[in-house]
Amino acid sequence: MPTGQTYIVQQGDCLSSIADSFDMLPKTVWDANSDLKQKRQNPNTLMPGDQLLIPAPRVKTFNGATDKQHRFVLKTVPTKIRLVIEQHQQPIAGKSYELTIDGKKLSGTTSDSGLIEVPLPAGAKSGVLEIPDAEIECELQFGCLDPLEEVSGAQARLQNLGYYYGDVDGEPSDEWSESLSLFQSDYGLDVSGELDGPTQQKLLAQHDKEHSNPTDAAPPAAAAGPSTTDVPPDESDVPSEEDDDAIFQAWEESDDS
Amino acid sequence: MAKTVLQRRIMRLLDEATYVNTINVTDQVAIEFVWYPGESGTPAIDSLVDTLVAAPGTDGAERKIEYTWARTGKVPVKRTMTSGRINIPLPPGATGVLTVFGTGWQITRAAVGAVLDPVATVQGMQERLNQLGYQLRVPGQKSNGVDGVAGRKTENAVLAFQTDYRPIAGAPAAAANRLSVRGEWALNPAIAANLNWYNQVGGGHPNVNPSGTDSAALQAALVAAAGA
Repeated sequence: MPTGQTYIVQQGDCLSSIADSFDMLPKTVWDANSDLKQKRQNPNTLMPGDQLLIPAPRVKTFNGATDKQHRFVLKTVPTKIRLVIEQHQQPIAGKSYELTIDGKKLSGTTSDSGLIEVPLPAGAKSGVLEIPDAEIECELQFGCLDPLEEVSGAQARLQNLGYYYGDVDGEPSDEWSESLSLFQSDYGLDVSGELDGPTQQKLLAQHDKEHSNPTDAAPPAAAAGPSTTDVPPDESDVPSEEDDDAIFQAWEESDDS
Repeated sequence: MAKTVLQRRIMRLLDEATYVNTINVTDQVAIEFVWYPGESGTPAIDSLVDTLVAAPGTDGAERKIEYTWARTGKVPVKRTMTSGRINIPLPPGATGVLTVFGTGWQITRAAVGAVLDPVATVQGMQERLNQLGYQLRVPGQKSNGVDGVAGRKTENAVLAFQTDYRPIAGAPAAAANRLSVRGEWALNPAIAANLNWYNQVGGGHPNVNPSGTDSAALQAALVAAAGA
């Protein structure tokens, strides 16, 4: 078995996008990186520069009978974006939104808790969210949220929460410290202006909110075009002859005789 | 009011993730404090657009200004950022009290889309002058003097504004100091002479001429200075 290679995380990458580019399941890759797993906890936020060991592909053997058609199913891992959108700390509930990703327009309505949940096409890097009733137009960069323990990750979270207006550059500037103090005073924390433990925890609780009822959001409807996400993206049919190089994590045989 | 396009970084989530990204959009009113131009001790009149906090004190240290912003009952003392800017969260129609230098200012957020009156009107010009700290008020009267009527106070304020916004390198300190005397120059030959000096030697600000209250250049400068 060939040894694995190391991949250096770039901005905009996340575990799923990296795994996808190596035709791997995210879990397979993540489990091969116990040190990073320990360090980052959350596989959805990696830091540019993090090194990820890509394990060598496993070989599966399949004996197929001749003169029969075989169907292989490539199991991919769907990713999604899920966000709660608020205005002045109140959820923007029941407003119609439009999300444009890769030129495709999805429209839907935010839930009572302001939730928007959309399956994400593989490789999508950014999208534009518009909520006309709330006068919101927001460019979303997917997979660009750095880990919480990094200044840049905390800056981006504080920006999302409406506290920080500076650059998300990892530089602990004056403005950054001011915003942090404001957040701390609003949430009854020790006003230190430093990214201390309790502040990190509060940021995590406020930004990466647990959401127990993910089916809350109405599924978005494809506004135009036949090939958008109304098909559940967890499995996609892949013609076997096109995928000599693909690693099939699961396969089925169908007898089409 | 132009709609701002926000840029936000979010997590791409695996399907089994149980958490969300949270984006809270809070309308902010950005207020920028600037030093009064020509203040005694300001190194050169060039720095008149220096921000309040960026202007060095006599010891060269940065000066940050404490302020309080009260809307929700909590009144933490905050300090301006190095840019001189503060951002106060304020939904449309809401009101709060901003206190700086011991003076409370009631700040009311205009309805979305509302702006100051057009700068080409006397009213709009007065609103901006008032916002920039040029006094229109007649002493002893309660009104702030923004009344849409161009009187002597307005003219003085305009002249003061035009004079202040003429950054000139190498201006004599005495002349620079004289510029902070407000509303006098029309009557005071010494200041008028200084102005002549600026016109001849300094070249002045290309966009502003102390020519009256109706020039497009004045209006443009006012809009630029008042940020609205």
